[in-house]
Parts: sequence; C-alpha cells; structure tokens
Amino acid sequence: MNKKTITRLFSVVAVALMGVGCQADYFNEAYLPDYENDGTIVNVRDLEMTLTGDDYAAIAKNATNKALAEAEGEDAVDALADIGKNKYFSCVEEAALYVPAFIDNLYPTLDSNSTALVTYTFATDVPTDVTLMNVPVEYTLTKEDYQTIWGSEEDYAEAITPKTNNKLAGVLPVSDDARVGEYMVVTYNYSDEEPEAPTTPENPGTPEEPAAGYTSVLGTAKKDDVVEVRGYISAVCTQGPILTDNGGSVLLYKTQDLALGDEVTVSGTIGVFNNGLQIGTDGISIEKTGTTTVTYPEPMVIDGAKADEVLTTHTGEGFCFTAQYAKMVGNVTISTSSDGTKTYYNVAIPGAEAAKGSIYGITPEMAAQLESEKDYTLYGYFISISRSGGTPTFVNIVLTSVEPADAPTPSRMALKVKSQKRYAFFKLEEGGKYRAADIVAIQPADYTAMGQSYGNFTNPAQDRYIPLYLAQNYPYAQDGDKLYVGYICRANDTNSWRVDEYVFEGTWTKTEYFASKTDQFRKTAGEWAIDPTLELDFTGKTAETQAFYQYCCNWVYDNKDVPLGAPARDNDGVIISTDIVLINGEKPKGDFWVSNYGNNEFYTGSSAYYGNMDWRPAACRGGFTAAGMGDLSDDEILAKLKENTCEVFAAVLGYVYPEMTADEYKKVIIKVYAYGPNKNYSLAFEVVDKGTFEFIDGSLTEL
Amino acid sequence: MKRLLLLMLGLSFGLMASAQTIVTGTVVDENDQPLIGASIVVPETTLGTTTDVSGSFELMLRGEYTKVQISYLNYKTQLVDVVSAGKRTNLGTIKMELDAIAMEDIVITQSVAVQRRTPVAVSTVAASEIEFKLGGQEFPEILKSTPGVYVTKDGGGYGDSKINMRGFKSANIAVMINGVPVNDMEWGGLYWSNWAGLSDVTRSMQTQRGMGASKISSPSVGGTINIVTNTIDAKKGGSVSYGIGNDGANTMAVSLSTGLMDNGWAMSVLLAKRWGDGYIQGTGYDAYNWFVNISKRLNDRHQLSLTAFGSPQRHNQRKPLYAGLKITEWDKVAQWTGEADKYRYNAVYGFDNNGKERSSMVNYYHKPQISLNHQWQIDYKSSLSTALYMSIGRGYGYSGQGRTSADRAKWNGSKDGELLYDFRKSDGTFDYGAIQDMNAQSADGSKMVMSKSSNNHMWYGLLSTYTNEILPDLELSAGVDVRYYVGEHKNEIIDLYDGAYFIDDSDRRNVKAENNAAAADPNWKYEKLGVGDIVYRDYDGHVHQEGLFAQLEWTKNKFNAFVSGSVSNTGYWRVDRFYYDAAHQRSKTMNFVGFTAKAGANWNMTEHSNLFLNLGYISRAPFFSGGAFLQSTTSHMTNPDAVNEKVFSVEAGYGLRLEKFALNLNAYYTKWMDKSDVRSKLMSNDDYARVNLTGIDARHMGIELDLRYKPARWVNLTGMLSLGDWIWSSNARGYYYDSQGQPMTKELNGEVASGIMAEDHAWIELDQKGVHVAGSAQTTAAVGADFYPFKGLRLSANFNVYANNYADFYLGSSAIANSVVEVKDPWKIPVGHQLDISASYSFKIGKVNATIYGNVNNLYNYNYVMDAQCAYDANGWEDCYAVMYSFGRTYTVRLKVNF
Repeated sequence: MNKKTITRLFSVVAVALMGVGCQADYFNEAYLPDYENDGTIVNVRDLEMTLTGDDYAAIAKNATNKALAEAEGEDAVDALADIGKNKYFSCVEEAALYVPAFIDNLYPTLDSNSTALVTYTFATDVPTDVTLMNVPVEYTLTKEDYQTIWGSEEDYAEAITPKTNNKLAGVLPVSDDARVGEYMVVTYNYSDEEPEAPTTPENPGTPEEPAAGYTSVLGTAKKDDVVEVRGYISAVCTQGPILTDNGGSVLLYKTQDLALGDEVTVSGTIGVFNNGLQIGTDGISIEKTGTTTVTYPEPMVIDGAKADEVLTTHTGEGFCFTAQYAKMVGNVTISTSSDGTKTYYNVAIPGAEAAKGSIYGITPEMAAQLESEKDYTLYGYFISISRSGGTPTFVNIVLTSVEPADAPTPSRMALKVKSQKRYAFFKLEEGGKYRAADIVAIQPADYTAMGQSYGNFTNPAQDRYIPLYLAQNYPYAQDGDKLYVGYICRANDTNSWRVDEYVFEGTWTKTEYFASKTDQFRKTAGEWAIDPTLELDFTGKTAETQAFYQYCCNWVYDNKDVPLGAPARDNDGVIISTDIVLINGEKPKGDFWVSNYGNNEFYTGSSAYYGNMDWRPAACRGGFTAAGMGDLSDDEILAKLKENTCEVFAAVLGYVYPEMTADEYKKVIIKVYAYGPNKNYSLAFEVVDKGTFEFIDGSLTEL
Repeated sequence: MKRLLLLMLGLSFGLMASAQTIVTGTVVDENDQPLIGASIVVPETTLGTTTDVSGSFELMLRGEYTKVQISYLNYKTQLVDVVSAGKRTNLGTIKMELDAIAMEDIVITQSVAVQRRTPVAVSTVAASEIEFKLGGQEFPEILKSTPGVYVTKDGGGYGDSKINMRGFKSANIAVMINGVPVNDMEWGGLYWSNWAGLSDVTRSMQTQRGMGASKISSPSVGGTINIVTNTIDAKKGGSVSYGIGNDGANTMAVSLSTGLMDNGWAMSVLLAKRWGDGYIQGTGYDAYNWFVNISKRLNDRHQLSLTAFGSPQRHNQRKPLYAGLKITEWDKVAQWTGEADKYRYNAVYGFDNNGKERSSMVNYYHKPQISLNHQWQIDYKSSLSTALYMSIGRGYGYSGQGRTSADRAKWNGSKDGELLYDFRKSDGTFDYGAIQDMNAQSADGSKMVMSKSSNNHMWYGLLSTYTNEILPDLELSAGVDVRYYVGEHKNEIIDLYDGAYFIDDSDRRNVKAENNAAAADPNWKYEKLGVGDIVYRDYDGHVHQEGLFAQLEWTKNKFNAFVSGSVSNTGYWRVDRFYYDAAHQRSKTMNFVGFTAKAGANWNMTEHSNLFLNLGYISRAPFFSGGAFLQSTTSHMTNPDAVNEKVFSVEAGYGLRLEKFALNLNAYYTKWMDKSDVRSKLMSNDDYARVNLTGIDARHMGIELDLRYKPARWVNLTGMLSLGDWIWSSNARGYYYDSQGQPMTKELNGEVASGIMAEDHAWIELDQKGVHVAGSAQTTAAVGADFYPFKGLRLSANFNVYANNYADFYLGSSAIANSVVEVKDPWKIPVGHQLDISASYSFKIGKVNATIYGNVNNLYNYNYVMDAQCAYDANGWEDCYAVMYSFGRTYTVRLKVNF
C-alpha cells in the first residue's frame, strides 16, 4: 500500500470513529479513474413501441395535445378526438405533432438523447363507412331480450334459433346519441335446433332407445377382459374421456385427442382403479368413426345418504363398477396442494357423514365456472371412489355440466337448447332501427378451428388466416367480389373489434386503407421531436462495432482483393459475397488489403479484431504497395484511408440495413475511433433508396 | 451507563485491582509445550477462562471455590484444588495427559493439526469465538482474518458465500465435517447454504493452508477446512437463544445435552431456525438446523457415536454471473433504491399479477449427513477408528426456461452487466406479471416457464483408520477411504406462468435419433409439456472412489517428522434419460488413478520457537463435470484430453511463543500443473460453445504472518498479513465443443467438425502467461483488539483489508477461433476494507446464566468491490460486470440463556 492509500484508510477509520458512515460512492470516487456520479442519474434509453388502441386514446386525452389542438381551432380539436376514437392518425403530420407529448407523458424521466422508434397507423383514403365499421358499439343480448324474442317470460330459450333469427334486430337498443350509419356488433347465443317440449325432473322424458351400432360390452366387462367397444365419448376430463356404449361407461385413462361426441371403436384391456372400471393406454387402439349428439340418461342422485352408501356398496375387495351418470348438489371447495402444483375441487354434500364429493380431472372450461365456497348442482359421471388414509372417502365425478345451486329455475325450454356464442354486425338505419350489416363476423368456433386458443387473433395473425378462411367458406367467389370481415384483434394486451375489406382477385386480398409507418423521435434539450437520423457509435470496442468492421473486411476482400487475384469462389464454385471465401475449408491468405486472419484490412484500416480504425500510414502501407500505390506519402495514405472509408461504409451500411428506407431514417451518422491519430471522427450518410446509402460530402469531421 | 463509565476508566487507566481471588497457572502438554485455548472452569458454574498463547491463564473468583476443571481436546480432564493464598493463588504448571481412555473419535480428529507438532500452516477458531463474532455474517466469514483466506458473500443470498484459500477456489479446498469429506463428488465444490446452520454446533473450525495434514485419499490444493461438531464431549445442560438483526433477521435456537451419563450414554440435540428478509432486495430466507448425537461408551475399549445433522433451507438468490451489474449500471438503479441502497438492488426481485413476490432465483436444499463412528482401542498402543456415513441430498434451484436462449436469459434480469428492460416495471422491479400476460396471449404455448433444477444425491462412504505405535517413537497410521455417489439431475417444469403448455424444442432439437429413438419423429420436439414434465436434462452422475492411505510419524524429543502417501481410483459414468433412450442411456466408465506423497518435519528449537518444513506432490483425477465428460449435463462424450492435474508444493514455517507474544510466519510455493478449465462463448446459432482448456499451469507463492500480543490481562491484540503472488504460468489451449459435446468448426455457427481434435476442429490458445489469478485478494491484512474491561464484558474490534484482488476473465465475443488471443491482466480491484465490532456481556437472570451478544459489521458502512468479471481483453473497470459490492453496515443482537 502506498502512502496515499494508507492516508485514505486512516481517514476512513477516523470518520468511522466519529460515528459517521460512508457515502455509497466513497469507494468509486476514491479509486476508479474517470468515475463520475454527481448524483444526477442519466437515463438514456432507446425505446421501440407500436401504438395500441389505448395509446391512441391516451394521445387524444393528453392535456398538452389538447392545448395544441385548441390553439389550432375547433377542427383540430375534433380531429384530435377522432384519433382516440378511430385508433389511427389521419395523416403522418398528426403523428409528428401529437406523439411527442405522449412519449413524454409515458417516460417523463428519460434524458436527452433518448430515442423512441414509434410505429403507428395512419389513414390513406378510408371510406367513412369503413371508419364507422371499425368503431362499432358492442352489445350482448340480455335475458330480457331473449324473453322479448320468444314472447314469454317462462317459455323462452336463452338462444336465438332459425325461427327467431329475424327478431334479433328488433331488440337491439338505440342510444340517445346514436348516429345513423353507425355499427353495432352483437354477442348472443345461437342454436340450430328449435327447443324441445318442456320437461321437468319428475317427467324426464322418454328414455331413448339404445343407439344402433353401439356395443353393450361395458355392461358386463370385468377386470382384465380384452374388449372391443363401439360407442361414443360422453364426457371429457384431463385424465381422459368417458367412453359410453349401450351397456355402460368407463374412463379411457390418459387417452388424448378425443372430444365430446366423437364416435369411436376402442380395443383394449379393462383395468380397475379405485373400484372404477377403465381402459388404460397399454395396447389400446382407437379408431374414430364419426360424431354424434350426446344425450344423457336420468341421473342417479348422489345426496348425502347415497354418497355414504356407495362408500360401502361400491368398495368391496374386487368390486368394480362402470361409470354412472349422476347429479350431485353440494358446496364446492377449491384448494391447492402445499407445493402449489395441484388444485383440488372437493364437494361437501349436505347430509353426508363420511363421504365427500370430488371432481375428477376437471377441465379448464369447467373449472372456470366454479368458485370456491359456493353451492352448485353438478352433473357428470360417477367413476370411482378414492381413499383418504386408506378409508374410502371421495366419490369421484367427471363433470359434464354445472350450474349454481341458487340459480333461478331456468326456463323449461332453455333446458333443452344447446347453443353456441355468436357475433353479428348491425347498422343503424334512418328511422332509428338496426338492420343486419353485410359484414362477415368471425365466430368463436372459427377461431378454434383456425388454432386460435383465445377467441381472437393476436395481431397480425388475422392477415394470415382470414384469406384462408374466406377461400374455404366462399369457394365460388368471382374476381371483384368484395367482403367485409369483422374480427376481434388482440394487440398490446387489448382486444378490439376490427373490420377489414377483402377483394377477390384469384385470392382474397385485403384492401389497405391504412398504412403503417415508423418514425424515430429523439429527446433533445428536454423536448421530443421526430429525428430521422440513425446514430451509430463505433468509438468503443463492442460486439456491434466489431461486427460492422468485419463486414468492412469482407467487403474489401470481395471487392478489392478478389479483383486483384484472390480466390472468389468456394469449392462448389459458389460466390459468397459477405463472407470470406474458404478454400479447402481454410481461409485464404489475404493477398492484398485483408490480413491473414481476415479480421483486419488496410484499405480503410477497419479492424474487427481491435474494434477500431487503424489509420497509421505505416501499418497500411503494405496494402497500398501491393495495390501499386507504394509511392504515396504518409499524408496521402491517410487521405486515401479516409476516402476509402467513406466508400466502404456506404456499401456496408447496405448490407447491415438492407430494409432501411428514407421514410424511416433520412441520415445515418457513424462515429469511429481511429488508431494513429488517436481521435474520434464522424461521417454522415444519406439514405437515398431502400438499403442504399450515399456519403454526404464534407461530413467526415474530427470530433 | 455505569458500566460504560467503568469501561472508559478501564480503557484509560487499566483495570484497577479488585478484591476477588485471582487464580493463575500455566497449562502444558505431555511435551511441556504450552496448550493454547485450554478451558479452565469452576465446576457447576459458568465461571471460566481459557489459556493464552503462552498456556497461561488468570481467573477471577468471587466466593468460596475449591476446585477448577481443566480440559483440552484429546487430553484427560483434570480437577485441580484451589488453595486460597490471599488475593492471588498460583496453581503452577499443570501438565495434561493424552487421553487414551476418553477416546476422542480419531475419524473426527485425525485431520486436525496440532500446533508445534503438525508441520503445516494452521489456524483454529474455537466455538466461543464463533459465538462471539459471527453475528449475522455467513459461516465461512468467521475465517476472514485467517492468512490466505478470502471470503465474500458472492451474490448476497443466505448461505451464498464464497471462500478462496491461497487463491484457489472452493473446488480445491477440502471441507470436512467431523473428518468426513463433504465436497461435491462431481465438481469438487461446496454450497455453504447446505451447512450454514452448522455454526450452532461447531466446536472448532480449523483451516490448514496448502496440502494440509489430512490423510484421506482426496487431496486438497488450496487448503483444508476441518469443522468439528459437538459429540460426546458436550456438557450436561442446554441453552436457549434468540436474536434479531437488520432486515428482519431472526435466529432462534434451543439445545440440550445429557453429558456423559453414568451408564455410558450421551446425547445432544439442537434445533434452530433462522429467517429474515435478507440484506439484498428480495432475498428472504427460511432455514432450519437440526443436530443430534447419540454416543455410547460400550466399555473402555469400544465407543459408538451416531451423529446426524442437516440444515433444510429456502432462500432467494442474486447470482453475480447472471444478475451482476456493471458499476455504471449500479449508479442507474439508484433511481429506484436511492443512492444509499443501490448496491442492495436485485434485478430479479419482483411481483406477479396477483401482487405475490416472485423470484427466478430460488434455492431449496436439505442435505442431511448421518455418520456412525466406531472407536476401538485395541490395546495400549493401537486403535481402529471407523466411520460409516451417508449423505442424502435433496433440493433444487429455480432455472428459468425459454423457447430460445434469449428468452431463457431474460429470467436473469440483466445480461453482461446491463439491466434488461423486457420485464422491468417503472419502479425497477422485475415484472413477472408481464411474463404471465405474454404467455397467456401466446398462440403456441409459454415463451418462458420456470423449472426446478433438481440435484439430488445419495452418497455412501466408509473411512477407517488403523493406528499402531510400531516402535517406541514411530507411529503408523493406515486406512481405507471408499465412497459411492449417485447424483440425480433433472429439470422439471413447475410453473407455466399462465401459458397453456411449453415446447422444449430448443433442447430437444439437440437429441439425436441414433441416441434416442424418440427423436426420429420430427414432431417429438414439439410435444406440449406441462407442469411436472422434464426439460433440458435428466441424468445421473455416478462416482465411485476407492483409496488407501498410510502415514509414518516419528517423534523424538524436539523432533517430529512424517511421510505419508495415498493412492486412489476414481470412476465416473453417467446415465441419461433425456438425450438417450433406454438402450443407450449408460455411458462408458472412465477411471482415473491418483496419488499423493507428502513429507514434513517440525523442530521445536526452544520451548518458545519451532521450525517446520513440508512438501508434497499430488496427482489428482479430473472432475466428473468439466473434466472427464465434455458436457456432463447433456452428453456421454468423453474428454480425450482429460488427464490428472498435478500439484507440487513446498512450505516452511516458523513459530514463536512468548509469555505475551506469539507469532507464526510461513512461506509457500505451489506449482499447479495440467489444470483444466472451461470457458464458454455464444455461437451464431444461439448455442453456447464450450472451450475445454487443458495443460494450464499456475504458480502460487506467498508469505503469511499472524501474531498475537497480550500486553495486559484485559487486552489482547491480534494481527495478520498475507502476501500472495499468484499467476498463470503457462498459456492455455483448448478446443470448442457445442452444448452436446460435439466438436465445432472454427466458424462457430453450429457446424460439426469431422472429429475431435481433427484438422477442422476449432481451437483457441489463450496467451495468459504472467496474468494474475483472479477471484481472491492476493494481499490481505487484519488487525484486531479484544478488551475485557470488567467481569462479564468483552469488547472487540477487527479491521480487515483486501488488496491486489483481480477480476476474473471470460472469453468475450471478440475471441476468434483458431487464433492465439492475448489475455490482458484483468482489472485490479482497488483496496477494500471494513471494521467490525462485537460485544458480549454475561450476567445472571435468577439462577441461570445469560449472555447478550451484539455485532456490527462494516461499522462505517463502506461499500467496496469484492468480486468482478471482465472480458479477456477488457480495459478497466468500465468493461467489467458481475461487480459485487460488500454489504453495508449490518447488525445483530442475541440473548443466550444457558441452563
């Protein structure tokens, strides 16, 4: 330790003994050369964002923007409000005007020289009608609406059927501020079948005759029987589906990919688990033969007494039973295992002393309908009895449907209607009535069919799927046919309805009324503004610097060395333009400008190895001599190096940014460190075309 | 206040004479050498003291006491009459007899060095010192004032400390608990979190620098740490303690011991719990410690002892390599933490959508060790001591998985020392909820999921030593050391983070159909995986080791000399269930034979001074991981370059013990040859290439000094200076392999070379000769002072200095294959230092004895850099990342009641 260090040590100890603690930066300031932290936190970030629907709304509500608009006049105020409503700018100038305040509001603490690449949508020539289609009012039919449609408060179904479809538009509410021409998208239940005659629990209806073609083997199946069953899937759970034939039902344990209503032929071996019969995966073969509508028999009611009874009647040693359709009423408790990996759904059945109900392998769809500590009526297959501490306790049921125990008694018709959620568009006509709009709405089932799990398209998936959807659903389309397609689009965590126009031209093509643009905004002197300049800082040895210089080496090799005689093709005769060409698997010796290692060149002096520009004339003279310019003076070589740098950088920018256009950036500034002069320099290039750059004369300056 | 005034008076004028009886004396061993640290207590009381460096003691007694009890490890306990002769009573020189009857377990103590007899550099910390000074520090930090030792808190999580000795990392430091080795059998290292609770039951903790005195067949290079726990020697009684500290730290412990009962049985039990929020953001922990020892003295010849202990714990972590920042980045986080707390920032501390705290770096582990020791005193000159032991390791750490390596890296919160903002909230916390949202919206399953990286093991071992005095001055020790270890390693998804499923195609694409038939199906890699499914790895590492060792020790008057040697065979194979199917899952077995040869001598020149010299040569098997297998996690590919590492070491020392002054001075020279090392580099195909470097030589030499001065009865001064000069003494050459152990071509784009070490196999040579060895301060110094101003009160201050500490280096992106790259001397971390103070006061609560302890570490709250990493060509501190600063000021207060 030197004297200085010792002095510091003692000063620190003295401070300590005086009872004063060190500041967090004492070490850094005392020992790290060039360390500066005056407590001012410099927060420079390079952001990238794509504006979402919420963002446009925020831009419209931004107080600074409102003040800007008010200063411009009433039309500007309306135009700003429309940005929030339409979720796009009407022109690019609007973006330049209003985005800065929006960024500043989002990131108030960013410091100058921060940048934000903002991608936004702006309108080209959008027809008014299309604009209105994209801001529809959303409405979901209520119970009262269905009652109105069916004309009864008792005998109604909570669904629209083919017979009642024409009554839908009539129940849609028209708000006071509704404007003619605006659109409404309606969510409702729809059934292809008309409701059946009313039934009651006392009169469950006529049991159906056993379906022809199904076997009855499950009624007499025993453990280890090898069976062939023809039946259908009557329920599903995470542990496998329930297979039903005319004799009974069993679990197809761990079988995947079968859905409710699938008709199947199953060969396998009967097994037993927790006294319930099942068919395991060993040796199983399944052939799917079709689909059917599933109807359920009169359920066995598992009340408290029955639950206790089955604990003894269904659990004797060697006893096994087929699954039985059942109804269970009780209080559902949802709990999680101690390690958090499992969730249990148990049912407290009123009156049961020992038995508890348990929902077996509940599917996420069923689970979403249940809340803990609530009473429910559960329908499903009683499949097994599991034990707690060796004692039969849990009556396991695979759910087929669930309803709240305290739900009002459903209409008698509704009980017999199976429906699906649907969407439809309507347009407000003169006279204040809605009429079905000529817009194809993508339905929930369509999303599923297209592999979209969440009932929407995650932007921009719709552009891939909708043309295929239309091709499949409109096979006889003729050139020039036009369709409007409405769908739910998820972008940046938000769902919203969008309508796109498609025209058939051999294939379905989306009409682009909107364009997307990316602008760079930069914070300068505390203010955000569009700055179409890309700054590349290659003054330090970073991976980016080295990668750029490697491109320079490769370019010089291909364009300078090769014409002078260096090999240009690989063993297959293929020219590789951006990489050093290998000969017999080896990198060839750099005959002229490029070094043996391929990571330095002396045409411009770029060194990927050292991450700088080597502008020492003496170091580069060898290359100039080999190229026939050995008589240049040092100053002339340095001038040549600079001139060559301008040439090569312009070319290499084309490799690195092949997609860059003048819409995005107008100018690229590159800063480099030059070894020899030991100084930083700056060069500027203009983006003259897509991926084409031109050096701006006179822009090479020392910093 | 009154006591404080007394303290000030004492400090100013020395302690005034009191009216009590003062009993003095000197305790010596069978060779008339002073015994340092012998215990002198008044039976049935808590009154007592220990001998100083000259073997002397002074005990103040107030009241009528007629006997004192004198005890020392390996010696018979003596009861000595106190005949009052006024204010001062001198008991004279008390000579202790080696205890052939008490039969201290030789397995436990055979590796413990004895001052002035075993010719190695040794330092011992007694249980009382651990209790007094440890406070809220990590267990190994109790050694920080030991020469040649450098301890840091690494990332700062509970138990995440790191220790280096003489510049060697933990894989080269043998740690033994009760004589049983505990270093991992696959990679040689140690996680202190597995043993963090052990401080509660440690009787002594001894470090031997260099090759040490251990006879077992797994040699150490940097040093040996011997931890000896309570066993049959525990006194009857018990204790209860409770402590609190900064950041919600709590400790609670209760211990009970029967002592040795008349029927020959003895039993000790301890239960302890520690919990707290952690000094570093989001590093909360819950840890338990349990210990039980049941011993039975069967008769005068046989003794059985069963010891079992473990420290189950959960703690959140901050891993330097992944979440460590650059210095300029630390400044930036002050926007969230404030300037004063910026070094507490944890880039992975955050919350999910339900407001629940989450961490992507969590560690759960429990590694109980059970050993059954049998001591057989065959006759008056021979004995057989045997330990049969097993270790059951169960636990895991979180390991974030992703569809791509970029996704995977996002779990770390930072990359190359710079914060990642992908999931960063405006308050600086990690936004786990954003991952949930991203996954929930994903159409192709979770992009990022959490897995638990399980590392379970079963380890069985037998260690048996036979000792015989074959000639009057010549003793032979010989034995066997047999071990079998199976480590089970797998990654299991534990949380899909709200996604529907996870596809592990980034790992499964690396599975080859010729190894695992499942991979023949192109869709196999797209299998939808859920919680409980395996990703990335599922393999067992098998290690067996069989060793023989022997030592001849000659003792004559003032001379002691030994020669010892060992030979061992180490075998490795792996069983892989992920990259291989049942037909191919077992790898071939690799066997390595290693040996050691050591010799040393000690000469007690006078009754006050001694000289020693030792030298040795080690040939050690390469480790399972990073040695025998090219990619032990994912592949059966073996390393054709794997050879034994060799170590030559020579050391000389001098000891001086005067009445008030003691000194140890020693110098060492260690040559480390054919060392292997691994460096990694990201390839253009998103995979990591590994460079297996071999043939590395390093030279470690230095001087170590520690001294103790006791100018007066109430003050004790200590000092330490350690000067190291550790450099790489050769260049290193290595070949590139991908994550499956396949040889890479020099383009490093995933293309496989035609063969291992074939012409097109990419290589790199590191020109590192003369570069400093990193990761440990090469110069350390410490001064300390203990004051005993009046009865019951002890005050202590310790000042530690760390200098010549170099940042570790790694291969950066600019390192080009098939070239010689010049490694710059890494950043020399500026000097760091801190002051710790401790105090204890013993008093009575009713009829029981109580002691209150207080510790403040880093009193002046000075944040200095302890660890850092830089690229091989970095220019200075600006280019370094994983920069870890010391903790600021921390404190603990604890009350312990003995009964």
